[in-house]
Amino acid sequence: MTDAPLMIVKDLVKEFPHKRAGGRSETMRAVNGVSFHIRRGETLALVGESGSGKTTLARAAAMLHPPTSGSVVFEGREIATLKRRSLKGARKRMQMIFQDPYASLNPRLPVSAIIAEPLAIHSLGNRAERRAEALRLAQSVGLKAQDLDRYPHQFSGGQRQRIAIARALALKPALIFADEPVSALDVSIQSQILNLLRDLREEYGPAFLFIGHDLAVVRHFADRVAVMYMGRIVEEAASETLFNTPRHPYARALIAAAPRIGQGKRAPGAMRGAARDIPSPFDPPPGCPFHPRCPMAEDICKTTPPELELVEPGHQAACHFT
Amino acid sequence: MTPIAKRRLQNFRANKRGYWSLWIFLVLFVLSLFAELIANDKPILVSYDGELYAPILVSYPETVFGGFLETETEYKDPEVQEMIREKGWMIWPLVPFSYDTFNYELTEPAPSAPNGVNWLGTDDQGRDVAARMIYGFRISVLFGLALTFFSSIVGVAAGAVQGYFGGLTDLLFQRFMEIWGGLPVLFLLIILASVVEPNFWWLLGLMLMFSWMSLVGVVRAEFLRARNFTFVQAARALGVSNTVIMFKHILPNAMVATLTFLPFILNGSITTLTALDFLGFGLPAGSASLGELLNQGKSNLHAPWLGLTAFFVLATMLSLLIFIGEAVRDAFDPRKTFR
Repeated sequence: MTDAPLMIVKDLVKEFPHKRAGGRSETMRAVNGVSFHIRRGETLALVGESGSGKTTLARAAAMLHPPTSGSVVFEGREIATLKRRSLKGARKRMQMIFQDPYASLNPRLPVSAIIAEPLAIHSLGNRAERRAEALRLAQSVGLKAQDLDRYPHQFSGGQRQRIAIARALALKPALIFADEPVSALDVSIQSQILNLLRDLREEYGPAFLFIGHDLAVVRHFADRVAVMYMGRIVEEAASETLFNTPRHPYARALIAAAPRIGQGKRAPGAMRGAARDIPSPFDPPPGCPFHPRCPMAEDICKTTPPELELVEPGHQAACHFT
Repeated sequence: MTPIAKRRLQNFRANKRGYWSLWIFLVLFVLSLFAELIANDKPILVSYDGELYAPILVSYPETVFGGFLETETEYKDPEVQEMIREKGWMIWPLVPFSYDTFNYELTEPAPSAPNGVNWLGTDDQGRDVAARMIYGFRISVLFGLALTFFSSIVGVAAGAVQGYFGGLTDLLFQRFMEIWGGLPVLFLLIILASVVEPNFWWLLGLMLMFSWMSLVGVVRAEFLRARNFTFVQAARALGVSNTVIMFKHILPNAMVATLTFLPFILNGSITTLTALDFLGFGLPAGSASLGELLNQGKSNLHAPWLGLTAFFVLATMLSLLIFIGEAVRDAFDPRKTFR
């Protein structure tokens, strides 16, 4: 394993134009100057509430929506400025798993074609070899040989997600973007899929950018965790550190709000201030974006946005009071 | 066959009206494809002097049958018929006239009323209406099918590009289509008719220049919807090229909406050709066409068999196609249940 990170994202910004009635157009900053890196074989998890920009960040880093500005260096190559055609090489090395397995598989293609498609578009092997590889992949995710000729609608959600995982693994990528890969599934199936992902991670050794909002899942799956709030990373640390000693008030609220087994109620008053709705991303509050909801907010928070700063080795947080 | 295709076929069969319409239409269409064997001014088979001849396929000079002209035999000529009967026999088609055969033995002035020889009477030039109806039906359907086929290819491609790329491509293409669609097709045809003599292919080409737009709307809408489907995004994330995404991933999913449109486009094409023929800007003079028959019916109100024949043929054909179209549309409707 080399020391150079697999992917370095720097000051990534993704804006979406939005036309209001009356022709006034405004932009929404879904991702607002985010930097992070992923080392080879490492799993970085992005957590945060709905609308915090996790998915947009992953899609921008995967060049699915080209970022508005910022840089994405993947395996030593800047890919944020590449055109579609030149991206194909990078596409081969990074793959995606989507949240909803009912939507991410083309209903008109049999499973064999879905799994073998990455091989086909990168012209690897002939038809028979691709089919054999599809069979091997299908078996490695726990599907049967006869499943190859069936269509997605004949499978359950968990099985579909297995198909999607097999497709993502086909090219033995260095990085897999997993956008809430289990949150659309039944709880009993979730653990099966997570265990499968873990086994495959050990077998093939890809790095993961794992997006999740189920903190228990994230805690068990990720090496490092980054907490996002309104398009920014507000805290980032090794998984255990973050869950045991969260520094940012938002991370604390988020962790305290997660239900835990053996605990009748959530910690009293955990989300006190944060229970209020997330502010409009079209009109973000000045200063620290969390200050309207923060129990610790003081005057400085309303004027000066905090930078992400190292609080201890490997642990960063963006708060004036850490 | 996938289960979903099976269910659609079942649904189509369950619609009795559409199902029978399809069969009736197919029988009529296949019969009309062999119009030369049903209505012709040449016999199907001639036996002369112990040898067999097929005048529909091969052109024989009169000398073969003991005449003295080097030109092709006029089988309708009573003298020729007598010569052949002396040394053999002839099998005539059901209707012994072609669409352009003049019946010189009319006992009353053309257009003559239906009788034993001309079952549906003759038109104002003494041509058999039944024969013209058969050939006219064939050319109408063939024209309709060809126009539908080509305009769906162009229309689907144009709609796919606009819907898939969206944005500026879509905007410019749509504005172009608004201008293009505003061109008066009829005037263009009149201008064309003054420059060249429009034949089947000229008309097909010119109509195609405008008819492709009817499919663009629905295909574009389907592509606009599908381009953000997760499986399309997934394909994009895999690095699949735009063309492959469009035709392998989206088009099959957009095909249902497209298919349900086709029978109605076919109907529209047939009506258009008929209208042009009626106005005299269609197929060259003398060709069998339902529109021309309608026009004759209009100018010969004392000969109702002209207008009535054209009317009934057109009405039957268009109704059958609409019934088929409705059945296809319903069979593809996922929300429709039949049991």
